Amino acid sequence: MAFMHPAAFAGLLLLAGPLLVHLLLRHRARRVPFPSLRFVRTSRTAAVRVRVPSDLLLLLLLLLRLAIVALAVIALAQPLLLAPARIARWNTRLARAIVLDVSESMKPMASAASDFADGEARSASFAFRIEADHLENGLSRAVAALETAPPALREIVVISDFQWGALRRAVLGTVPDGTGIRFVQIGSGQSERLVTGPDLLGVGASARRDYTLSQNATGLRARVAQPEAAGLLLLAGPADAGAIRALQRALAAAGTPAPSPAEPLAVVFAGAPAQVVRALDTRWMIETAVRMKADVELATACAASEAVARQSGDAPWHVLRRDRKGQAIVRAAAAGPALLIDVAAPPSAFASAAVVRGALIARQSSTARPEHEVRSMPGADLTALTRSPSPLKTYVPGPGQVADSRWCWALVIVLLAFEVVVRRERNVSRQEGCADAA
Amino acid sequence: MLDPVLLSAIGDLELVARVTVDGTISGLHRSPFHGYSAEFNQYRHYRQGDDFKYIDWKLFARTDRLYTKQYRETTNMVAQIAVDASGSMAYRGRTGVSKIVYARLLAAALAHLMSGQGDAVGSVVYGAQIRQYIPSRTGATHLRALLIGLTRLEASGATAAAPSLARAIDWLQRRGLLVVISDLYDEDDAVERELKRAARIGHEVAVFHVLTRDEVEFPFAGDVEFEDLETTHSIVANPRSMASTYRRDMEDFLERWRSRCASRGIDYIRALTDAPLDAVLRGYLLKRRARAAR
Repeated sequence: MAFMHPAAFAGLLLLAGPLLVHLLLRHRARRVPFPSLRFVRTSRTAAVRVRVPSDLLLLLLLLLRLAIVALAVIALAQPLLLAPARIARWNTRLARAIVLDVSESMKPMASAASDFADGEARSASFAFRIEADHLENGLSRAVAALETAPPALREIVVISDFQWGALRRAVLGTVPDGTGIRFVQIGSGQSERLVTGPDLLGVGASARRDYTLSQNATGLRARVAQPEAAGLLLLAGPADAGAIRALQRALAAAGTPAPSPAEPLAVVFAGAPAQVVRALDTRWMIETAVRMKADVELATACAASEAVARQSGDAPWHVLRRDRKGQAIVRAAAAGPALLIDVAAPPSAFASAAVVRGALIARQSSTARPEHEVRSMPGADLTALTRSPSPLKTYVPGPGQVADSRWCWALVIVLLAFEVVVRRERNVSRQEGCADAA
Repeated sequence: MLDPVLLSAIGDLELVARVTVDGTISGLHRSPFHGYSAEFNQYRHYRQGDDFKYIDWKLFARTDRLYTKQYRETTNMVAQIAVDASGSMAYRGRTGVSKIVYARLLAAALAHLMSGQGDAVGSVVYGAQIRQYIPSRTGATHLRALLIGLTRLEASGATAAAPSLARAIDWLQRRGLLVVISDLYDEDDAVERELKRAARIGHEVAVFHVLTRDEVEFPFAGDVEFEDLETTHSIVANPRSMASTYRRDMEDFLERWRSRCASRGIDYIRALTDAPLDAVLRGYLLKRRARAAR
């Protein structure tokens, strides 16, 4: 027997009710020695008769009441009789969750994959279609979807090109044991792909790298993307012109991402003229500032430096970093269309280079690289991970199942009737007991 | 009025008996128990209520004062006082004294009264069987022994009055007085049969039906487990719902005993344990005298 709402068993605490009534009523009677009981009659409202045969009836009454409460609780817990025929009927049905990979790499095969998914859905008794960019996310959604399915065999079908690294074995461990898993690999024949890398900062120009990915080799070709590094303005005193050039060379050598003309950065060093600024008010500026605050390398560099001028952290400025003495050394604000970063250090300082590089890295949003992978998971690996759904042996929670509570309720009614009979019988017994005593 | 609670606090049963009897006799027109012959004993100042025939008119003529003559009556009567000492007699209601104490006081007063008049008096204490028997004799020494026996009276156990009463009746060798002091919770027919037999063979019989007020009025409330003092039975009942039935049954019981006794010429006196002892005794004596006058 299984229960669809086991939480209802908390209602068994109600069993304390009849017990308490029984115990309290027993103790409620005041004991009075009396010369003769020949005229004393037990009355209907009298609680109990003590040390006379109706004690047995009282015990029976208590047991009946306990049974009634217990059965009512069981009925509320929605019992399900697990007859072999019922379990066999469940095992003839199939609940299937179809995880369809709709990532970038699957776009050429989207139509074929969708048709295949439709076919899989039609052949199941209960089907859930889940479209996901990431297979691991899709799998967890499939597990959750199958938990809402009625009792049936359960299976997850994953339709994807299964790029290398798209699926980890650990994620498959989250799928319940009895649930079958099947992998349908589509479009695994792609042999080569051209991927363009991010622009990199150069001296007087930005560089771009094109990667050619094939099954066995990776090719790299670099070219000039923009003649000038537009979008980055470095402001310092006249005496620091040489230091600025040295800084640009150092950043180019370190492989720093190139700035974007659409999201310009202005870095002001100590000695530069003051700028008219306002508070950060654009989404990309705020995101960049937040990423800079989380940059560990930048934090380390600033903590080892010392500000050469006192900076105010008051609005509209937003302090991003402090030096080793706790003084503000890097602060940010908006100036025209640009994100202005004020550094209280000369451009020749290590902290200055770390700030410019950190700002350029922070400005660049991360992009998903696994989609560029051209290798697929080997079919043998997928076969090894495949498993069939296990036949159900017991109830699996799910909707659409009618419980067998009606039998419990019927029994409750019968016991209630019996309780009435026993109660009357006990009253009669008490009357007779009184007559005997008299 | 002699409050039984007050009397029960006096340890000296002889004193209690004397006080009770003195209070009872005073005012009665003549001595309650008559002998065949009476010899002059002493003069006493006339008190209101004294019978005129005992006034010594010659003495009045000489002294201009009223004196009544008192006689010592010679014994002619043998009395047996049967006291029920079963467990039910231990009951003490919310007022008065326990039934056994009341019975003890009553028996002592009666014994003192009879002994004072020269009658032979004895006692039988019974429960399920006879526990104590003191034969009927006269004299102050015997009375003291009888009162000591009554002092030791304890109520316990079951009751079976009929065989004990049968023995007591047999011990009254000639026509005499049988006084039964009991709550009569027993086999009614068997007890009645013995009392009837006693009356038939010529004994004078008096029944003091000793009860507490709680037994008659049944003033209980709430669920109560009534425990029988004589048996192991107990019943839990709600007095409020059964009080009227109880009172009716009790009234029937009392009326049945009253009519049974009346039909057999037996004096029946109902004595509630909170009633003044002298009033009960006086009631009995007046009733007895009225019957003698008939």
